[in-house]
Amino acid sequence: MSRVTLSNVGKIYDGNVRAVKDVDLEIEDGEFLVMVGPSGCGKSTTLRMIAGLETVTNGKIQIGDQVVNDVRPQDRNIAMVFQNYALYPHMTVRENMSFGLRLSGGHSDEEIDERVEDTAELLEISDLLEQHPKQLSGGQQQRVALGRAIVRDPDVFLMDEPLSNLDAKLRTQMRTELQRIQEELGVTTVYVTHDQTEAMTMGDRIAILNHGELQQLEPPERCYDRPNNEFVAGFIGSPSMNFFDVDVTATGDGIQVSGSGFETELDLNLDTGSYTLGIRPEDFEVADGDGRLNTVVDVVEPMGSDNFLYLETGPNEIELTARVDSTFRPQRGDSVSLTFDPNDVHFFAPDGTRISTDNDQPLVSEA
Amino acid sequence: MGLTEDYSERGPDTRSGQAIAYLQENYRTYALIAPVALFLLAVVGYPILQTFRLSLYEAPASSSIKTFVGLQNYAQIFTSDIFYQLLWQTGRWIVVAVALKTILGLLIALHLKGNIKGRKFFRTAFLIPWGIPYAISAVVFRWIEHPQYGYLNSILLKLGLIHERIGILGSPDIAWLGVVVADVWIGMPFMAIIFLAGLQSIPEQLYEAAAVDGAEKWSQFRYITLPQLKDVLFIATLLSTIWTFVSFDVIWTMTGGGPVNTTATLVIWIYKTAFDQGNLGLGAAYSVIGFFILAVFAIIYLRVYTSGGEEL
Repeated sequence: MSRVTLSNVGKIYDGNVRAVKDVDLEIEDGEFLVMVGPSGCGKSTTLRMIAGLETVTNGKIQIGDQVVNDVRPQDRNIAMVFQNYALYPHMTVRENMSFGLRLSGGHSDEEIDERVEDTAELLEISDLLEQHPKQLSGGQQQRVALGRAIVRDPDVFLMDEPLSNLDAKLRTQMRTELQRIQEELGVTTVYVTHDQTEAMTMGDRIAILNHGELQQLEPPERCYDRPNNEFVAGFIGSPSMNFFDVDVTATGDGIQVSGSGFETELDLNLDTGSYTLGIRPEDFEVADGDGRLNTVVDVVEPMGSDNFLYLETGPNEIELTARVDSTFRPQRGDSVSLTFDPNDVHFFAPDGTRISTDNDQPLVSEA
Repeated sequence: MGLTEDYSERGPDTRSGQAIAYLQENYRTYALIAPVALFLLAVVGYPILQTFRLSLYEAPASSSIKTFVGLQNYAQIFTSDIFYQLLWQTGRWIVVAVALKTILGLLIALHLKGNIKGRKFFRTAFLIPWGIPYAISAVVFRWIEHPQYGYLNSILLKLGLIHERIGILGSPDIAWLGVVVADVWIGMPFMAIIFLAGLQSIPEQLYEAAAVDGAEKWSQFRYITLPQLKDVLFIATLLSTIWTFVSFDVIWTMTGGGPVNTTATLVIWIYKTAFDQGNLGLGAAYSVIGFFILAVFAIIYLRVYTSGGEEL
């Protein structure tokens, strides 16, 4: 087990395509870190640099105390789970799992067999050991790929979207199983995904990347409640946060928010100016009478436990989403007035950074 | 009631009835392939049958009279020393030439697969030998290996590897090697291109997974490349074996089978017997033997090919 440290790490392809920009990241011993971001954000490249499958253009990568920039993947004592598993098709499950151990030498046949069988038991694939990958289902292949990584007892697990080829139900099941196994083994894990649900549920901390730059590196709930910037605010949470261009005027004991359908006073402390106002769909409530925002229903999406309302507001028919109780089911064209707690709103400066409003509530984790 | 109706709609259940129904549905397909099938029967099937028949006769080319001799031609072949010399020379020719073409083809493919500069140029350049008529290449190699004017002797002399000029194609000991070199030069590009296609179909992630698993380059080749390339290697080697077995142009142009028959293969001998010596019956008997040897390779190829390599 080891700490993984990235200092000022960058990657430039073909001389001019910058995939990763000066990323600083410290992954603690035994931590489960999820790297998340949209396609092309540099998360897989970063993972591959940690694995040694990509060279580092600038900066330094350390595993434990050793700088590994020039260390080959073979010598990093890492294990990787690939998106499409990359199982050796001509080998049985047993051979796939024991391949790395046999190559590394120093293990007797009995020891290898024992480790393979113990790992197979942990992953409940003991009865598949003599089969070939093409005889297995996607879920089983995924377990074998995981087994191949675990059996080697590496310092670091690297996982590149390992669940994305599974169906939704299996994905949820494997998500919890992966967490259980990681907790049981306590191996430092870097997990790459584009799925923010996986990021929120699995990681001790999440590293959110965009355009090759690290946007935020904090526990999931912190990223959700205190997004560093507009990108993080929009990326984390489903459905995404609503954004409105508004003008704020300081009024002695609060602020007046106007524009994008808003004309409301909030008990917050903020300088006069133009901002982007962010409100999560789940932070809206349907007002009994006149609320803070008058909208017209466009589409109602019943999700069972609650309903997603797709609404329009203001003269420019700005679109927004609200997540409301399942008992509230308006018709298309109905007027709905929404309200929200001023403490739940986020303000972003024109450059996208989040503005503290002095009213930020302490997080549960901080309280 | 419904069952009876369903059954009656199934059509005739006698074998001839089914055959007629099948033909009624598919006769257009058969009509379309019939001309080609008949043409092949005429130009391939008929000569094969005639060769089998001719091998049972004494048939001098100079005479129109043929005498039935039964299996006498075969008896003559199996009791002659030259037949076993030919088998040895043909086997040596195939094994060495195919092995060299396979190994060099694989080496070239492995290097062309890497991200080297000018890869496209080399890929095309390596195909050139294959595109030149075999006889032309053979003439060029005869000239290269010429004892007085050839480059090969000059280079070997300059490198100090030989002390005097040697007539490669005139020496009974090494003439076959001189011909093998030309055949390898001609046949290697095909192998390289087939292997390259095979190599490119191996997912890069397998190598990445192997590298992370601790596999060095050699282990990656041994445990990933070779097993993944197994089917392609087998088919390409088998095809090359068949083509090398029937190869005629290169040997005939370079040495005509000499000196003292040391570069002759079965195919060369068939030509010599039938058309040089004018012994058509004996030539046909050699052809029939060659036919059966080749059939073994062809059957293996067809079995593998039609099973899609699953049996491998």
